[in-house]
Amino acid sequence: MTSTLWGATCIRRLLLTFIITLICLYTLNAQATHQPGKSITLKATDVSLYTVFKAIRKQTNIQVAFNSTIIDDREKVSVNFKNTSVEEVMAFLLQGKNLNWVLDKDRIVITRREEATKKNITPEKSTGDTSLFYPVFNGRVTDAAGTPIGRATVQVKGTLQGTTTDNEGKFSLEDVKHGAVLLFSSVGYETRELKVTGKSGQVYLMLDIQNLEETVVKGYYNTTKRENTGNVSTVKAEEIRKQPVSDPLAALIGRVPGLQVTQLSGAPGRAFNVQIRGRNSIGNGSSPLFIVDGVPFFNNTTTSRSTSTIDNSNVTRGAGLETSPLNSINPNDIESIEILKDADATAIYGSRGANGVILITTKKGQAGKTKVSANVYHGMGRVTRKIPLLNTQDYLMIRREGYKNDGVTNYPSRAYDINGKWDTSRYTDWQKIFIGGTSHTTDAQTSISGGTANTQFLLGLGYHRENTIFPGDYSSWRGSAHYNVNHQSHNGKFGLNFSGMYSYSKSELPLQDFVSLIQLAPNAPKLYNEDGSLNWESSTWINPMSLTYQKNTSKIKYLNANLGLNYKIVPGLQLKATIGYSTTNVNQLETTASKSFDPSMPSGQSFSVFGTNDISIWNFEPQVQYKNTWGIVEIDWLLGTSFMQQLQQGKTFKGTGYTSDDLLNNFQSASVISALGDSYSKYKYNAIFSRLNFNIDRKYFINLTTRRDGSSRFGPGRQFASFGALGAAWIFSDNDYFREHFNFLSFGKLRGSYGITGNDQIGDYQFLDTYQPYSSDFTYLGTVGLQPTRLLNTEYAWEVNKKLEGAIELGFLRNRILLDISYYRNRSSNQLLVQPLASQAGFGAVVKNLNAVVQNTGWEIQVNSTNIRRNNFSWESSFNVSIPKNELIEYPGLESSPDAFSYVVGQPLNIRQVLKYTGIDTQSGLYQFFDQDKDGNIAFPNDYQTIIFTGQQYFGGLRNDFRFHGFELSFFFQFVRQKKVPNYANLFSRPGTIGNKPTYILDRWTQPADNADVQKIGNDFQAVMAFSNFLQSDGVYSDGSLIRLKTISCSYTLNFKNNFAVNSIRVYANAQNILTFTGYKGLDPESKTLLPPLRVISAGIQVDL
Amino acid sequence: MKSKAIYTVTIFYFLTVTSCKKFVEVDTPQNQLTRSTVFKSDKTANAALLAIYSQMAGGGLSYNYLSLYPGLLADELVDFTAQNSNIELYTNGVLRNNSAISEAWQAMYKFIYEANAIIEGVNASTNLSSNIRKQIRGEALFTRALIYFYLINYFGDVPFITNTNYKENESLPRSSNTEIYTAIISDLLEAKDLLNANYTDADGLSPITERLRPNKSAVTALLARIYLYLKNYDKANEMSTDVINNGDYHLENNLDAVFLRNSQEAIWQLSNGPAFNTFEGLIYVLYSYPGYADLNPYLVNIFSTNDLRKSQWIGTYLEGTDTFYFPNKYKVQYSTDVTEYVMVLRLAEQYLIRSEARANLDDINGANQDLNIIRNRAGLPDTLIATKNELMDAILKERQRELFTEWGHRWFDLKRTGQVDAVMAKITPYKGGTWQLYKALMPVPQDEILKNRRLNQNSGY
Repeated sequence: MTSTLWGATCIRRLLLTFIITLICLYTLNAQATHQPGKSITLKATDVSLYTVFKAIRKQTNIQVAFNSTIIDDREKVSVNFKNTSVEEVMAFLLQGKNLNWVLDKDRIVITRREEATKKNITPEKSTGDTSLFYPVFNGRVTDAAGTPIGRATVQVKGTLQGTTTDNEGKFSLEDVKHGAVLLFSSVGYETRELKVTGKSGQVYLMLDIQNLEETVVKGYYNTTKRENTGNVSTVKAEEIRKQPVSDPLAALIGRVPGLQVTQLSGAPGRAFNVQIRGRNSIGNGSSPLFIVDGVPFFNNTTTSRSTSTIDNSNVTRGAGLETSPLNSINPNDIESIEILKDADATAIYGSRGANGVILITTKKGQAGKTKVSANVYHGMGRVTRKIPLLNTQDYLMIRREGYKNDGVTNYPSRAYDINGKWDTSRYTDWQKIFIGGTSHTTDAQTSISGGTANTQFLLGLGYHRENTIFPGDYSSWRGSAHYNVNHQSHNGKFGLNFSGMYSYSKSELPLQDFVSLIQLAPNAPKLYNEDGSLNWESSTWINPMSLTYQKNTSKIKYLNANLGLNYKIVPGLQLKATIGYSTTNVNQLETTASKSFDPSMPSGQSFSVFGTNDISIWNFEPQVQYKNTWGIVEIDWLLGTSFMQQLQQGKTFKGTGYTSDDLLNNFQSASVISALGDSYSKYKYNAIFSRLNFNIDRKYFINLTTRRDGSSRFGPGRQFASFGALGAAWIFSDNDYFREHFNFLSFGKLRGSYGITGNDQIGDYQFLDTYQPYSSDFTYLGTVGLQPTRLLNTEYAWEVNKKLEGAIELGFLRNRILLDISYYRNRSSNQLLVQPLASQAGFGAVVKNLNAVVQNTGWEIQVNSTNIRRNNFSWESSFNVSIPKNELIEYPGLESSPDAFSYVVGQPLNIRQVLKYTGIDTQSGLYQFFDQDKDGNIAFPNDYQTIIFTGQQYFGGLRNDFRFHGFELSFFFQFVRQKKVPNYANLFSRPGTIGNKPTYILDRWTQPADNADVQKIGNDFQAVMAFSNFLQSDGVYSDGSLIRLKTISCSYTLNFKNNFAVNSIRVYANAQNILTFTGYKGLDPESKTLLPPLRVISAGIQVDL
Repeated sequence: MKSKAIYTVTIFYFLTVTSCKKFVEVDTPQNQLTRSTVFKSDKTANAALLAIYSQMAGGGLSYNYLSLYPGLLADELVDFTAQNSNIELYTNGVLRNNSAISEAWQAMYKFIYEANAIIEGVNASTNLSSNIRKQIRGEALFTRALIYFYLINYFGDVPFITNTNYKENESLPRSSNTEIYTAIISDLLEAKDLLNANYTDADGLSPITERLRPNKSAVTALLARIYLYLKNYDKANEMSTDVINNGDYHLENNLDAVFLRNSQEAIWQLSNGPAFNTFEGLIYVLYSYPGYADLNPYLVNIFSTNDLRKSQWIGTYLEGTDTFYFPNKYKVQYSTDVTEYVMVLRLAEQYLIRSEARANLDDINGANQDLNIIRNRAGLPDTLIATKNELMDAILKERQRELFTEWGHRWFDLKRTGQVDAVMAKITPYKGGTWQLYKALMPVPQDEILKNRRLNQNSGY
């Protein structure tokens, strides 16, 4: 389409929006005067109490809440109310019963009448005199069972006046105006309000655990778990703080159905693999959209076919060694992490929502007494599993046997381990040296928060330091600050929220994972000479400790600031705007000292590489929200636009020709400086979005989200596309029939959604035929050449993801057990593929939309259960399991593309096509494979017909939390079922070559008719080919299923009496990755050949003032 | 209140939701140029051409695809990489999916694309000066011809691509050798007219002593070689004589000086910039156990003991009782002090071309004369070979000794002279493989056939 046409569409759309806004404003004015009455009219004979309560709810919007052990709502009554006040209705209904009730805002809570509270049970009748002041207002705060709640905050709404309750839950306030509203809050309980209508009152706070009214953040708007039409999982601060981790992603492992987080390495700060509901894209990004306090988090979207490692802040690192960008965020600053999964939840993010959205919300201050909290812990980590490796004696025997089998009697000059160059009596346990160390973690956090009813603030500071288990002086630390200021004007019209975080992290980590070094020969030379210098053993080896003279220091500064403004024009109509900015500055210095080279080699030259990478993102999102109620119909409408820009700039230089290793940090002392890289990309994004939520009687919900998106990643005329979703829910438990026939069911909701989201993770400027400088190191006649980097290609457009979801949410035994079961089907089509192009055209690939379809389906089950809830003891459990299924449905032209050997239609994307290993030939002693095409040769591709699914069949977690007085104990198991994971065969070289091997190779073929697991040790051509085929066969995959006791956390909290300087002290011990049950052959099925996740045990103390 | 609210909302909307399309348009990235911008100025247009030479020297063409690989295929080098792709080359057992061959194909077609882009860019541009236009077009035509020459000698018939339209080009079938040779000659003849006799600097105009950009003589030298391959001995004789008589080129008396950056023998050299010598030196020169290759004993043994090339162009490295021989034409393994350039075309080859052309034109004396110039320089005495056939053998042997591990000469000579079958039938078994004639051509990479179904495979694969 031409640009003028686009412009016209754009303007038409705006006009339409504007007209709709006007219509809504008129409607608003028409409806503004309508207020639901607080009196009831009802005439009925022999109806259940439930029916009456329902009528109250309908007519007054007041909900009656009670514990069904104290009142049976099936009890029949006959009533005749005519404009009767709620108070009178309640008095009538509860007459003769030993029950209390209180009215608070829009809820009536019925409780058992207790001795201690007999005095002031019902709110005293209003005298009608609104100017009345009560000199002293006395009250008491208890939980629903009547147990007093101490240290609860009581505040007169709209003023600074407030107090806290004593250990008996009592409080008193002076000079309280009649009609004033008191706010009650306490950690772990819902916040409540009470209108002052007498000189005393009592409030019951409900525990907020398992509460269906809990807020669910859906990005641009919030809802409650009860009313949510989409699929959103939440991980709360409480769950994060129990884990001694430095990266928020680590805290999510196994805890959220549908979310797959894999720790790629146990070294600090390393990247994770994150995927929500499987891989949607064959060629492009599958990583979710991360949003921190409303600001998108830079998420590098490359065109590589790798997994969705979110990797952005690194400058020069290789696979598995990327820095996790989220490591810049202090987990302690996080209030909650929301994972948005289905179309209903993600469609409002339009083109970026295809792979799900992860929202990170930081902590906010609370009104009340100023709280100071300090928390410090220390942890220690170790590798839990080692691979049994050969000792020197067995190792040398195998080596010699190899040469004997080859008929070689004179060991070659390179066979240092057996030809006499190296001491054959030496033994070193290299696993102990390289991965046997202990890492130390220190973490300290402090925060101050508080404020008045109108203004709250929070300021938090954090420090985290971690070193590694590797030999050498490696460490990583982060200092961070987080603040939040929240303000509401006196008239409640204007609100402002300003929050931000800043962190500085510095890591000095090795350039290589030391795990690969465990395969050194067990009789390899000593590492150091007597004088402490590196031992090069007459140039017979590359001393691995030379790595310690290669330093990699990276400093990352991360700032995220976010300002939210809202203004209520008239009741129901609100203007909102958020302005966000985030910047990440990476500064990396890699130095390779001349000491790291064998001095007898001529090419060893010290050098340093200096890199910077700056990413800044700003966004601006003005919105209008309109809410109204007509009888039992409520609507909530949100309309907004989004403008975003992301700018990335990076530079890398290399300095050589240093005169001394001590000067490597100083670029001025390099005699030659060359530029290695210069990257620049700008990404702009614009959208208009709307959400219309509509409910009838809070039972039937419809949620319509739409978005029109434009992204600069597409060529002219292809930048815009529309996305949307429809979500619906029906709370069927709010129905007489269900009430009467399924009374074990306390809550039941059916919900479903269908919608379309997109994916633009293809990198910037792919449509331009650009030229880039060749290399400043290799100039030609003093000129830096220019080479073409891309073909002219303006034709590709969005990848489209259609998501369907159906779910049932059930609550049993008064919601003590909550069960959510969801089924989803996502189909991603119009796949943006870096499609192979015959190289004769100049480039081997070009970005194209292809009508390939990838389908992800799956079941997700989540159970939350409050097994025991007593005053001093509680036991809660939570279980989740996800059963994902990925399938390539269509791929036109697959056979003729090189993807033919990567994917198969009807199979998941995570497959490998390999040789079928059939055992060892008892005569030749060599690995044998199934000769599919019967041509007598084992060759690619005809014999590579065995399909191996390397993905996960199911995964999930089980959590149990116990509380006994001040003690808390929590443990969490993670489980994963994946049958085929590449095993340690890939970590070690061919049996018979120099380098240690696992002990399993002792079971090798030695003579005809041997029934062995490992082929003949040897180096002849046949043996080499057989081994290389073996690595390409299903013989090197092991069952990587695991059950991991991921977290144990225990703590004891000591609460102090009032007026003591210290409020509470919590001492705790947490442990991560304690036990792993797996049959995997190797260190760990998650990290494979890299450093496995460490077992970290930590202990700490938290003091609240 | 009502109207105030309405105004607020109205203004709010007009302020925020105005620009939809404009906002998501981005400028060309700062660190890149689009093609049309590149050919707007002489400087950037030159830079596009110079990048090709940088890539030829540093991107694998000179040292891998046209030295290491043909050396392994023929009887020059022994593999030490132990990589499957190289083992296949060494044992003459190249499979259809050999990654090294696939890379060579891709790299060479990338050069073709770049040359085509330059030719198109120069044609389309109205901003370039006419001198620059001539110079750049001439060099691009030369480059395209050079790469096609290697493509057809590697693979036989190949797709003939002359523009950058990928939609058209991605499905072109192979064109015949004859057709491509005709185009190569016509390109070279045009380039010969376009280019100057002197060497030019980065600006494409200023004369300079560094022989880093192809000039008229480079084109003539390549034409001489191509006519020789096509057995057009008259023309080969004419072209090589043209270069030999030029006066700018002299054989270096000292063999150690041949591959230096100021070699008088050089007709065209490539540079790796101010801080790096040659990748040939880096991979071949041994100070420790070979990581890539060492010389095949067959090659080492064909030198007589008094052949200076054996002592000056072959190096030895001793480890324990093992001796490793390596090509030592380039002496510098690694140094930031640049003394050597990558030699592409040099005078010695022109003497050998003329010798062969003269022999075929029955100028036995003239042929002997040229051959002896090369022999004498290597410290060998004059010979007088009487018959054409014996001469041909002697010339081929001399080429083997003179041009070993340079730009695939040996492998391509074996093939063009029809000796490949006889020689390889002896050598291949020694290398651990079996020889068959079809192996003289490399397979069209399997990938490419999958991507372009109109490509067919060479017979045998």
